[in-house]
Amino acid sequence: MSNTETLLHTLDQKGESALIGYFPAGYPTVAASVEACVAMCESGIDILELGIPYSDPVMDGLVIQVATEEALSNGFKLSMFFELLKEITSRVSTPVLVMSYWNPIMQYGVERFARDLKAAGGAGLITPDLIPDEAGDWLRISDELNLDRVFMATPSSSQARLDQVARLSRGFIYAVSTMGITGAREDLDAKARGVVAGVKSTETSVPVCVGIGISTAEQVSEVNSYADGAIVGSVFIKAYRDGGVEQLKGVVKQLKGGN
Amino acid sequence: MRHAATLSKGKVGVLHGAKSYMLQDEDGQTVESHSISAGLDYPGVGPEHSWLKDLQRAQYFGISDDEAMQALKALSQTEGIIPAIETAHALAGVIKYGSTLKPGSSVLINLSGRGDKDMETVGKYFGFLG
Repeated sequence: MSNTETLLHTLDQKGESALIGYFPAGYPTVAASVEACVAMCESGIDILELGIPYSDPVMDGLVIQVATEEALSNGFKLSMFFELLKEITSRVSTPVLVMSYWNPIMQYGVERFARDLKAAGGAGLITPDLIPDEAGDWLRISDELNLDRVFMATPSSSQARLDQVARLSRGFIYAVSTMGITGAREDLDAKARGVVAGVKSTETSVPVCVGIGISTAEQVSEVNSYADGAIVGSVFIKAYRDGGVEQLKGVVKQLKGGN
Repeated sequence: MRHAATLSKGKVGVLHGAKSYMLQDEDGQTVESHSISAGLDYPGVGPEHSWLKDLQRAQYFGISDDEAMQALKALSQTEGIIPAIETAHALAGVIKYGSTLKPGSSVLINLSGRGDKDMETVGKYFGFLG
């Protein structure tokens, strides 16, 4: 059983819902990103989604793009990543899932990446541009190491794809709220409910969390009324960019209060 | 020197949802490409070409900006056909490698696009436009 799933089920039973917070590794620097992530965990996020900066972040909106570009131009390298992750996991007990586009993992070596991830205390991987059909090596090694693997369910996914995603995900399933990129939206696409319903209809026991466009406490509450957690990123980065760790902590508390 | 010779100098990776040859560093970060042709100025390449290369059904050669532009000028002046700059790379390939063929060989060129869309780039390159 995945610790992430146990945590999400426990929150659900307590009538409390989950806040999953994204922050990019290496933004603005390696050391500063560790402090920001630890502050987010200590201020109330239930799961940390730690992003690996990538040159072609096709799922991300402007806020995350600019932040990850800054991380890369400040010298972030994959070779620094596992030390950074270890530093975070040694200081907090919050599960840390790593979000990465597939190419850096493929170039590093899938098995090597998985073993280093496990050794650094990571809970698993969120893979936005990997479909389960192409994930053979990752399915095998994540089973062996009991790592979470989060695949995407989207408004354009067929029921067959939702079945496959539900069957092969562990930790949680990432329900993409809208056919678009990350970033705050005033109205959460009604499609999010449809995606969650489609996944839930598979009768999976894996929790379903919604991401893309969530930036307010009200939205966090709304999402948690029909799903198992809300995934938030851009608004945290904006808070950090504008007011450092203190403002970041404030926004985390505000959004967690929305539960 | 920056280039877009993905098939001859790239490495297999995943870019924009497709597994193919691409220009990248050791972390898998995309390396910025350069080509005078907008359609070729991309660090990846269509996966079909990668597959044909690996099957050894096709061979791929790099062509410089200058070689392509001279080929564009040659076809325009001799045939009155203005090729796209992308296509001009194939023409330059024929000019460059055609001499290795047996006399009397036939060469088929796919004139894949027209160059009227490229007039501004062409004008600047040859100095007709500022």
